[in-house]
Amino acid sequence: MSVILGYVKEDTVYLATDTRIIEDNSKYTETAPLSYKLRKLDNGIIYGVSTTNLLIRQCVNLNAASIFQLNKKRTLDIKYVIKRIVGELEFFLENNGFVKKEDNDSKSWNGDMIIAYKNKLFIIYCDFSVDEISEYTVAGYNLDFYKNAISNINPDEDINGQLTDILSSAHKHIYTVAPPYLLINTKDMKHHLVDEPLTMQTCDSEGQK
Amino acid sequence: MIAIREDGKIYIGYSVRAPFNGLSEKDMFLNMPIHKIHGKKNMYAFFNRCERAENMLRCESKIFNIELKDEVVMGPFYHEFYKYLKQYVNPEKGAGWENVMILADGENAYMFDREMVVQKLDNYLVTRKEKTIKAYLDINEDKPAEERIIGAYREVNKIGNVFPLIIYNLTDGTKKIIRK
Repeated sequence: MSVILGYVKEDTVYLATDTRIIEDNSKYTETAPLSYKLRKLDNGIIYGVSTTNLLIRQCVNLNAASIFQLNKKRTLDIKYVIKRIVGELEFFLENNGFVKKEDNDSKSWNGDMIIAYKNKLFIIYCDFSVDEISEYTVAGYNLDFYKNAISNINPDEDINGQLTDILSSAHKHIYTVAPPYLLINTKDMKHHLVDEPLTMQTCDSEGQK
Repeated sequence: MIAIREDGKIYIGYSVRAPFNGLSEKDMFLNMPIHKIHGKKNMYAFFNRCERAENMLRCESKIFNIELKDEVVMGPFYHEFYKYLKQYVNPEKGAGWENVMILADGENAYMFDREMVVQKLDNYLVTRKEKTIKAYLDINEDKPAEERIIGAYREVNKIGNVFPLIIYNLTDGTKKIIRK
């Protein structure tokens, strides 16, 4: 399961993840834009899916324009996320057979999702519940490790650099995380692929550097 | 959660930590599954876990806009709430809706458990770690309510982190945050 880090600083949300793909018994890195785990939409929303099932990410990507819409005021608030976006997400996941029903009929899916828009950050959990984030959050496994690391970020220093350091540190211990790391924020809306700390490359929508 | 009635006053102890593993403390408070009921003085619905059904109540909490007395809570409200929950879970099956709710104001409190059994607050109500907490509350029944709540949470904290804790005094509308 991928990890996605989200950090809010003033009017910007910074997001970071890696490019490792794990499929059956193989693991590899995938840096093609179509495989990015953090995606941006024309309406300014950035989202990322942390899951062990690649098909779920693909299903969400294919339906992203329908799922991730802004409200009438062209913004996002938690009520809208709960009622509209989670409803759409559940609809698409259920239609594609990715929603599991528990004994008591409650529903869950195999993943967590992060949504960012301007200074707003939300996390949708595997049981379709939602939290609004004003500081930081982590989607994926090993929450304690990442939470401890991200809670120590110094807001006065380079956020992207610190997020990269966290992923780089995780890479030494957790096999599901590997460089290059993918960074994006809601201000410049550009993907940055980072091989090593301090060598940031900006990519356009086609992945050209 | 712990609800205690003492000298006609109602106190609720609520652990902020439980459901939120990856969140900062500020965001734990921001996303607490506690609904202040609009238009009602010091009336709240407290949930011990955040889930889809509870999330939706953030959008539609008017369902709680009721008179908090037996004939309403056990009657029309119960049926309305049951109908609402059935949109998301089936309370008739297994463990029910995987949640516990305390609906309380300054005069009354009712607990809806996982099987949708309703208990009215007499002396105290406990939603989790019942044996540990009840034992502590019984042994220390001569102590003031707030002290009993804090002591009980400290007992549970020996097993796993439950702080910070909020204690609501619903009778006078105040609340305190206890950090350890």
